[in-house]
Amino acid sequence: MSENREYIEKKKYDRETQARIEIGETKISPTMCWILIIFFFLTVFSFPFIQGFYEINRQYKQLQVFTWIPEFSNAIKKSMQKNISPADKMFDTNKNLLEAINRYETGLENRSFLRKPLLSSVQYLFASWLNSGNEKAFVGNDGWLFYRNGITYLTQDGFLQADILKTRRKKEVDVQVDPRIATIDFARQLNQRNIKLILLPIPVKPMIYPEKFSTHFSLLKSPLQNASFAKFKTEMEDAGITVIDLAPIMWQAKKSGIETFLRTDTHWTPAMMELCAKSVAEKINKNYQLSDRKKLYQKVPMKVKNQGDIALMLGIEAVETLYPPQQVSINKISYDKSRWQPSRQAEVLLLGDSFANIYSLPGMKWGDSAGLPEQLSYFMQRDIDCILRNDAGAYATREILSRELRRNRDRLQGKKVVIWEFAVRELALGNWPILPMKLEQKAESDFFSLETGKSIIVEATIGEISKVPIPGSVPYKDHVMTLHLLDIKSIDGSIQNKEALVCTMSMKDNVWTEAALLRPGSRIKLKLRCWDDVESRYGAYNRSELDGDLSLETPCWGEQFKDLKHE
Amino acid sequence: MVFSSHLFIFYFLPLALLFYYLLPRRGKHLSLTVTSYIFYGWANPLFMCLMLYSTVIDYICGLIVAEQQVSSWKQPIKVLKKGGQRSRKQKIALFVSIATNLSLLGFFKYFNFAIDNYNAVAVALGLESMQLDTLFRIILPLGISFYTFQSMSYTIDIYKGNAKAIRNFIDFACYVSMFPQLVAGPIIRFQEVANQLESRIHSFEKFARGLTFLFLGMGKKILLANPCGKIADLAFNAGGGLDVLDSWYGATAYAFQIYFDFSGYSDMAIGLGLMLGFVFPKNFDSPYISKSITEFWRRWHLSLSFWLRDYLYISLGGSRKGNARTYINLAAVMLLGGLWHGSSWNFLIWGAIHGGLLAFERMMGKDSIYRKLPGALQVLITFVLVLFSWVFFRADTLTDAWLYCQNMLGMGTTNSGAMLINGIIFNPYHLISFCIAGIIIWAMPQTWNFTRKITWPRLIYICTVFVISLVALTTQSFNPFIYFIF
Repeated sequence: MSENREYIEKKKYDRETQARIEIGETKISPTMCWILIIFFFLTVFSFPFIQGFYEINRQYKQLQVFTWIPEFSNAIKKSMQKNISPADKMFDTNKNLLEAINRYETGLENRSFLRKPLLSSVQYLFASWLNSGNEKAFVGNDGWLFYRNGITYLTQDGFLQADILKTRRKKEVDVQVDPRIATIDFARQLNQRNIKLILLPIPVKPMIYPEKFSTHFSLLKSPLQNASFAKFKTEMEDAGITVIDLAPIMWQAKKSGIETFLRTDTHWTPAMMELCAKSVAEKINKNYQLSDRKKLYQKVPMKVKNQGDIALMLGIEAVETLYPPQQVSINKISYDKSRWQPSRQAEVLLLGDSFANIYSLPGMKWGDSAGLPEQLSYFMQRDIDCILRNDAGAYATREILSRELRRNRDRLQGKKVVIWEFAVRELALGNWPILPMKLEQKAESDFFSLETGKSIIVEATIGEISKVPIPGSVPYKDHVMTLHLLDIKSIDGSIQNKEALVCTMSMKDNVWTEAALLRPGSRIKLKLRCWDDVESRYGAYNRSELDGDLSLETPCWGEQFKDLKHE
Repeated sequence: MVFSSHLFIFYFLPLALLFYYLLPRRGKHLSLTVTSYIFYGWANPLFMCLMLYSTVIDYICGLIVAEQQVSSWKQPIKVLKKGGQRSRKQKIALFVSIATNLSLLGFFKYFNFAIDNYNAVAVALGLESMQLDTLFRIILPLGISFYTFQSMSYTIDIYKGNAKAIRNFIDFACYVSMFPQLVAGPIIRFQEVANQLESRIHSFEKFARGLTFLFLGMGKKILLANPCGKIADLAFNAGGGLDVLDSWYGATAYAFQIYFDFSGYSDMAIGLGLMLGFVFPKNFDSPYISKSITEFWRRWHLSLSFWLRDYLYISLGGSRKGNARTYINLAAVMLLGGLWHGSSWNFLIWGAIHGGLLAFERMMGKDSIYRKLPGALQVLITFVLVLFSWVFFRADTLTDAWLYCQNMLGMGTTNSGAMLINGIIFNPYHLISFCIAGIIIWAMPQTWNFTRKITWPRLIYICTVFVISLVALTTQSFNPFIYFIF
């Protein structure tokens, strides 16, 4: 045969002829030929049928493979209903179709009967044998885990370097990449109301524990930091903004034997958080003129044990066999034997992300009433108000504050200090839009709302649904979505043809809720409650909003969803 | 839609094959065209209109070039005489075809680049107010570089007398849109498949060989290109702060990634073609064992090399107009080849490096310094030269590429934060994948040779690779295809 090959090459046939001769030379026995073809048919052709049986067996409402039909028709219908030019309709339909295609393809992958068992066992092998995590979670040394974005903050060049900003602007078209502009503008707007801004960027784990990630750092003498942080701090201080850099405090604490970060979680330990809260409280007490309205808060020690969020990101079912849950001591803060509560009348407002929510928000399962807001209250011995939201510390809490003001709810009234806490990685990776902090008159609204303490069961049609994350694809495990409900009718007939903005849980412990599977156009039955009644419980979860003015409406809380088509 | 996706493997491919084989001969091309348009529209439904537009223009121009008229519709179409006189109408039709395809390519691929450069010049001249609105960006249609070149080759081949025009529009649409090679090649010239469009053989042997190509291609892509891609991404995103070892490791990982990514995709395309009865020519022939850059281009992305040679280099005069003109032609073709890959100065420099080296080797002839060295050293030198050129190909900006090259030469400054990537790129998973990739590149036969004779051990190996690839496909979320953006 080799002689034949040389002959082919020597003859200098054209590429097509060479390829045809080559394919004609294939040496494969009929048995092997059949084995290959049958193997292919068994693995590939049988898959959709097995998947179908699997879904029928699990009593899914609709086979995933056919969901493209309602998905695509809704996408087209949605654009056709809009009063826009034909060209805009075409582009809008295309955009909606693309979103529907992505949803459909992701749905197929996620509902695959192979995915869950394979994902878990393959990731177990990777983490235990090959020291390898996944796209979000990196495996370190001695059982430590690291969140990808924390590493990226340090490995990339300075976040204020012109070329870095330019590259980000190109890649992330709708994102404001420079943190200085929005921060200075926010401070200016607060200053107009005589409120001082304190920035509290929380260091990320690899800044303090690089040696747990790479052996290069065993002799490091100071925390790692992004090359632009010093410049950022100087520019903020020049603009009259106080920046509290916690990295040196954490480094000292680590040297004195305090474990500053949870081993398999993104966040700090309670001991470190309390030390930082104490340091911030001392700075505020020393540098700012606050009233004498002090309150005697007390603390009660207790122990909590939980699995870290990065360990859960690995998607391993029995993750505790590889990474045991960590036990920590927290101090629950109370006043007069009752649970700590934020106060709207407080002079200090804390805007915070999951670093503030941990040990405070029960849903994070690291205990409650012992987080950053509670500890700040304790160390200052005074009330504080807080707006907390997991993730996106660069804008999420500012956005909530901005919306409150636009709804004529003055969360800045009586405030003297705003502490803006966010993970320092946001400086390099976050979105920093400029947001107005202006109190506006409440616009007339026909949207349905409920009084405090009231609830009602209604039927409604879903108009729009905000984006719902795919479980496991985001760093958080709980999520709240927003729905625009139309044609609302109460069961007793007292309410007719109303519309409402409704928030509800779409993901709990990395599993979609029934509501997450609903689609626009569906007629549903649900229970509505007043948002104020549930805000302290659900307000801090990561939430997706609807675009435009809808986000300014006061939402209701929705639960006990039933799709009337399947009832 | 990508080949290495759940949707493609478990839903699209079985359905496409089912329709194709269930339909009679006349319906096969229609079925293939419809499935190909769905395949393409999956990335962006509007892109289908663009492809249809290009197809219709070239179909009509092809008929005009072939002097096909309504009155002679039923008569057989003849191949034009090679080198014969062409009428004004034929010349205009050829011009319209080329101009349409190049305009599409130019607008969608280079509009943003042109605006960015205009704005940069305006800023440099202190004319900030003259800058154009940069909020308006053009989205690059998937695979436009591939199908415009392919579609254009149809009219050129007819004009040159190398192929016969097609009267059946569905057959032509099938040639342009055929999903196996639509979005990332290989670029199939019309003369290469013209006969197969008329008649081709479907056999179990062909189908089985196609499966071996598909399985091995998937393995290359999912099991080797993806982990090497992760190393490369981390190294190139670390800015200018890497040490010498890390930067060489990152650049080599990128060289491995781009080879396994692209040749894996080509193998899958060739395999799918065989499963549908088409034989597509070889696109890669173990390029990293080349002993010179000239040899590298005889082994790397052959469909592009031959396209550029036949339609550009030879049209420019090739080597017929003296040495100086030959060097200029080589450099010009490679520059344009660089620009074909993408609209940035990095690609242009990548093309210039290769063009310069090709011209240099041509100039030196057999006296080239490194040709006198032992074979292994020649391979090493060629690989290192290719590696430096890949740095420009991969880096986000020219500055990044320059800083990366400085790091490779030990002239850069290290950033302690960037050293963190050591913890990931040197973990056992990445190291093992990197070593296997190296072994396959330098010690294993390429896919065409490996699948020529299927023995039992090879059969077991190929099926195992496919099963592991499916497992990895179901569990991995990192799955980029480099050549999709070209």
